Amino acid sequence: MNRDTLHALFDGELPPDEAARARDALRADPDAEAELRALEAAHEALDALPAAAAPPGLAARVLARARRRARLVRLAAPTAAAAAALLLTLLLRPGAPGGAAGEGAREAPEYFWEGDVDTYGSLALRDLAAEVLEELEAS
Amino acid sequence: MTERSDVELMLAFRAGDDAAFSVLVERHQDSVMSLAYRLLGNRPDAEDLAQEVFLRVYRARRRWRPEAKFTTWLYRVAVNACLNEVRGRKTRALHGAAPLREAGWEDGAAPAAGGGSGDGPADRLAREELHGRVRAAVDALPERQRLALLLNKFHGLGYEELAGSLELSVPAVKSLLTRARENVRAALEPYLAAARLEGPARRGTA
Repeated sequence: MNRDTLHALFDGELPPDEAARARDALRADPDAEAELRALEAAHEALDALPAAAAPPGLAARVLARARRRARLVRLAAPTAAAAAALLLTLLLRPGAPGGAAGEGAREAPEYFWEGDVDTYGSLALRDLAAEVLEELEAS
Repeated sequence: MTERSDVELMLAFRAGDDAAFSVLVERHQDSVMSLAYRLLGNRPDAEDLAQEVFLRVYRARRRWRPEAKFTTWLYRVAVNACLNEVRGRKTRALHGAAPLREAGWEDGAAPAAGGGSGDGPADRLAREELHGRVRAAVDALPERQRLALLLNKFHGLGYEELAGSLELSVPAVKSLLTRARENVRAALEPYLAAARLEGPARRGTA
């Protein structure tokens, strides 16, 4: 019996007729039978990994955090929009450092978005920026 | 009063009803917490992760669209948060900032409720040894295999739902789960064989 059939049988994901055929084949194939037993034993052994109950007040804590965050995003959104507009104005101004089509114009925002996301801080910053954008889109 | 379905609650929440969100959290928090705990092996980190999952649910409310099963989407959010956390740990461990796993499993703690009672210290010792091996075997799995295995074993997700939650095709999920099982079985083989020889401790149904 092939490995895919054996695992699908184990998972109960074979259509009934195929499952019946596979069980017949299993009776004639001690190796496959032993393999199935071993899979069952391993699956059962996973019961050693205990469950854990969520801490009390989880929902309230999440809501509090989410609301703080939403306030921050709402506050940041107009500021971010204004800052972006100002930045654009400055960069597009003739004679600005780097010039309108200069390297600086393209690099500054890129760095902001694609910067080093290894550290927690910048990852969080990127998340926040994404949310600010979403808020601007939604409003 | 009839109980509102997950989708009804999510629709209410999306329309601005935070109380509906609380009901959803309370309904699914133990499941999410257990996934995080089995993945990370210690309670404080698992609590942070569970909180992060529901925070992501909160933030994603505008993007959420009703689909067949709310839990498929919930687990998708959880899987992404878990992968993010595990990768963050690896990066931090690489930079020497934090160990990959904080001092192993915080236990000695009893396994899932119903763990054998009324047997001698020798049995207990053998069981604890086996539990340690099981945890090590699961910890050694690549993260997607580990998540597929945990979601299948403890959350009852079949191929179709796993595909939805892991954002993979059904054949990809099948092969992921197959490899996960075979890896665990191979790691546990010597111990399980010994346990079989010593006689069945407590065999369940199948």
